[in-house]
Amino acid sequence: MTARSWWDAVCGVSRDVLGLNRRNLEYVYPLNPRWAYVLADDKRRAKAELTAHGLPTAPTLACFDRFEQLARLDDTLRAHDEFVVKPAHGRAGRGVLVIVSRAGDGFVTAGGRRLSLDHLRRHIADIVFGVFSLDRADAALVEPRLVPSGFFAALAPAGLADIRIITVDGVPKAAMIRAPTVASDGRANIHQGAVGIAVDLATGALRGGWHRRSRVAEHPDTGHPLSGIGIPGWAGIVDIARRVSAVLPLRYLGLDIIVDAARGPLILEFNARPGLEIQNVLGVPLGRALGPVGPGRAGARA
Amino acid sequence: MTTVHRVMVWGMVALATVLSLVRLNAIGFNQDYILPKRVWQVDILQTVSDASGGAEVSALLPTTTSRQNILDAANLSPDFDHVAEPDGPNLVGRWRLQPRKDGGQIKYTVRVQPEAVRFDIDPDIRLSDDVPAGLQAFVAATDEIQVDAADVRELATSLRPDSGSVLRYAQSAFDHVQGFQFRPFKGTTSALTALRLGEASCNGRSRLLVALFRAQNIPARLVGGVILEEGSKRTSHQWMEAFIAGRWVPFDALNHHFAQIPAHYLELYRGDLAEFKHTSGITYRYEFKMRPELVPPSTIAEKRDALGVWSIFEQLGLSLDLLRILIMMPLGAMVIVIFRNVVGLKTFGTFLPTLIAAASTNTGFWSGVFGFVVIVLLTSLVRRAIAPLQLLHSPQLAILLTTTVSLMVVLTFVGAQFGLSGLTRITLFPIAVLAITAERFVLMEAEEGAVEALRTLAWTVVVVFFCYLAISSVALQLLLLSFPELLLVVVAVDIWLGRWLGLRVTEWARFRPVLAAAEIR
Repeated sequence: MTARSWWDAVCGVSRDVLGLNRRNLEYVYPLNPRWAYVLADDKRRAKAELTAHGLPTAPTLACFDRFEQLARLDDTLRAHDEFVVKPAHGRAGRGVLVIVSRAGDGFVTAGGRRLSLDHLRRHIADIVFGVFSLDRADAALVEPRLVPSGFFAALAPAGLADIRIITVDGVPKAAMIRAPTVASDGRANIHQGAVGIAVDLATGALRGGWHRRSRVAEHPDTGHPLSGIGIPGWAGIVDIARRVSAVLPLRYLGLDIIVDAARGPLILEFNARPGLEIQNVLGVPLGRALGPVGPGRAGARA
Repeated sequence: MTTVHRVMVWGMVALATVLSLVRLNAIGFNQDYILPKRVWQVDILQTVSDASGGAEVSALLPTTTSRQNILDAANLSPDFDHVAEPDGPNLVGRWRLQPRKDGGQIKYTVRVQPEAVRFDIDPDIRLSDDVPAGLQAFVAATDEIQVDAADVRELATSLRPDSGSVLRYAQSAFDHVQGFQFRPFKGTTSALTALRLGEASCNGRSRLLVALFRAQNIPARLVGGVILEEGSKRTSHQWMEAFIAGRWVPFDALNHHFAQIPAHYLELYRGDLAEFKHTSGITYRYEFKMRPELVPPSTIAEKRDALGVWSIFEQLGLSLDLLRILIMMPLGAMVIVIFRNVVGLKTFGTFLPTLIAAASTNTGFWSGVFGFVVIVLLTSLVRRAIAPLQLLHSPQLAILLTTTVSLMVVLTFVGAQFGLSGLTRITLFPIAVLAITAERFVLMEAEEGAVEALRTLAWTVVVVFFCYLAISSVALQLLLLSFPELLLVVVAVDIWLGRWLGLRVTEWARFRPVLAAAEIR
């Protein structure tokens, strides 16, 4: 290795594996205007933006952003036995509470924990107070509990699997499924033990899994095969991804989509700084998957 | 890096270089006008009690000599009447307890800038029987320096080189005495006792060395003083000087200084004397307290250079001790940037390690890190203990802040009890930052597990260590204080790191599978 190529290797220019430095300098900063981050960071605004463009998201059953609204919590939730409470600014699943049923005056969480109404009220107060959003006053969203479609329910019975699609300038460039496991405690977070499954962008076929830093052919909980099968309705899902990234001012996006049994594909959220673990899942350097970035779109500011 | 970045980086480096050179040129490349000096604040403390019958004490006080400069001296002893008067080459301070008092504290404080000295002795100078005029007293025998004793004469003769070279003789005598076993004798050891025992502390060795020089008609005398080191001590030190080729040349046969002494030797007196004297029948103790500090060179040189930055800072009333830490913060921040963006280590808080490292310059690294880890871990225990109370965020943080403050007081108390002076200064730590760190620690523990939280804490300590190395380096402090324009270079490096596209060290490990696959293709 010559000194020059060694230096290039250190600087990461000879290979297309993306690190955080290069992701930020070559993709996030030039492609995503700072003012548009709020769209991605605030789930309320994100949903409003998507709904305005006729794109599918989970409905909002209730939204709390002032403490006095909590006095009517009981009335607000009366009609719902199953729901999810989440902070509008939460990250990495922080502050998310999944209620699966009622028990007497209280509730039961997805983890089987019983929760009094007061306890739930305090949790929502914490969200509004900013406990889960670095002390910024926040809003708590109540959404229906989503039920994965048959394909995803069979793939990951432990929780709600989602599809991550990376888009650049409206073009999907890479995709994976994040399937929860018992070990990940039902969360679709690969660092916490969920399985990442490579997805062929063109066909929606599964191309094997990545779990606990090694390649796997089957889901560790169920033995469900992670290759040789295809995601039903893949073309529609990719189409949604295309439409979402066409209407958002963010040129580099990580979209999280789930397929609900009743409602079909829904956009869960989108991320202006999508993570890099997808490289390990796909076994492909992201720089290569994303390809060269073109000049700015006209009228990027919506 | 784009062209804009390159121009900025090299422009800043060039500007800093030009500014430095211009200033260096203006002062004729004489560093003495720029570099701060290390001076010592020395308190000579004496405590008198149970002295209802009155008390008189005296101490030999440091004076300006060819190698040490007394910048100022002050007597702070409200219960005593004080005079200072010369006595031969020395200055004697005398204190008389005021009537109707039975004790009190004497504090005589000096600021002194000592310098290292080193002499070359011409090997061609020969031993001679002629004693320079006026120095007869320095070849005479005394009760403790038995020049005429047969043993001393015999040893002196056996050490005398055939060539008669003073240098060779001094070397043999020095080596002979230096070869002695160290024995921390209390009180006085005479030259003869030291010779016969073949072991001695500093004063026995010095007397024997004086006796050996005098036995060959080389004038020699004892020097009493203190070895300066930060802190308190009761141990004084003795070395000696021989009059060779018209100069008094120092020798310390305990610490291996031949014809030289280092900068941290403070001279208190010359001659075979005792540093302190007091009337009997009283309770008496003494102590030296020493603290190094950096001062602008103008104080010493009495020269205010228009290009020097010192006078500006002095006029602003900024203490140099504060300033030298402040000016190092950008460097500490740069160290963190390297660890975050090049190494890829996760730490608590972006610039927390710099703050902890800066605070640790007051406590010492180990006390600082010990205090930091103990406070964060114990505060996080409290955070967990109050979790069932389900408090809102701010009140909870307020409780953690209270815990942090209490722990600081406790650690200060523990430090005082066990004489750990570093721990007693732990209160200088940024309290709110510690409380928030404890909070983050608990959240991380809940979300990512105790292993991850402890690992992050450990990496934080590692980064604190490197920040501390950078911030506490006196050489770097001097450099940045003298050439503040070098901060432009720091900014240039920050810009360069700000365009760093490379994989972080930790990412090489994280993406190894993909990297390997990419290599194959």
